[in-house]
Amino acid sequence: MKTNLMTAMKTSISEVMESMFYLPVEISHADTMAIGELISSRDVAGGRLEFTGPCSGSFSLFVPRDLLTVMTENFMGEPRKTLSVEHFEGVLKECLNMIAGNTLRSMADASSYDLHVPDMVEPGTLPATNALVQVETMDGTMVVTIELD
Amino acid sequence: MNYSILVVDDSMPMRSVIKKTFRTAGYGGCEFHEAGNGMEALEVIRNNWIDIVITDYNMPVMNGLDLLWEMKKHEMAKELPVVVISTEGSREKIDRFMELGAAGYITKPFTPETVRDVITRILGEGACEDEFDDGDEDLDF
Repeated sequence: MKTNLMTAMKTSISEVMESMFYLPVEISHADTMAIGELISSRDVAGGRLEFTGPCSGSFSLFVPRDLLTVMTENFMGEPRKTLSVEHFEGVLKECLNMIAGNTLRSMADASSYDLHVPDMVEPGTLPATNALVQVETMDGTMVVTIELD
Repeated sequence: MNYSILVVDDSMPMRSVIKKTFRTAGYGGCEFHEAGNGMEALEVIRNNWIDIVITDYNMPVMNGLDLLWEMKKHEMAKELPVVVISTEGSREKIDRFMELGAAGYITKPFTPETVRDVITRILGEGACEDEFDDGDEDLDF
């Protein structure tokens, strides 16, 4: 199950980042130490989205603020001087929403899953999971994780 | 003819993107209203003339499915076309919306072309052109 979710998530991340944020990505297996440093940095914004279904858990997304600014500019088509914290947080949550939804939609029992509403989380320690990927873009690296209950 | 469009999504950036997509698709002259959830949307519908509702599914307070359900119970709202734009894309969930009378369903992530195709089918081609552009260059001064 976790393998299927991971495979679906990697495809979903590429599709979402390229079609909605106009950012080509390279997805690699996580360097746990580097990710731990990234997630604990104060210059990182984080979000979490729970899901329930045949298996339940949560997706998390951690994005350095510089990359999040670029994503927000690209997503909204607005220059950064017009953007506020509300825009940045809204974009992070929407990115997480689309990655999670697109991932679960590609699972064989897609109709059995329900997504909750995403929330911002404080950066801190690495989630207790080994299901995480590094997503490299030209403007920085972000991390996506899946934790299963 | 300029249409009045209600965009319902708890994500403010996504509401902006949907409006931008409409403008890119040739509906820039339309009037846009916004709501952050189904309950707010019902209030907008009660107080404004609305021609089409574009709604997300997963929202706090009242989700898109419950919004559609409520609209179908009210005389002034039940005939309004509703298009769902959502990450929820399983066949069963789409069917549930369509059985309840949704006019269209678009899954996120989406392309402007997909939105244009669905909206054009419902509202017609270029329904909200700039009112001073009649498309006839010979008459432009």
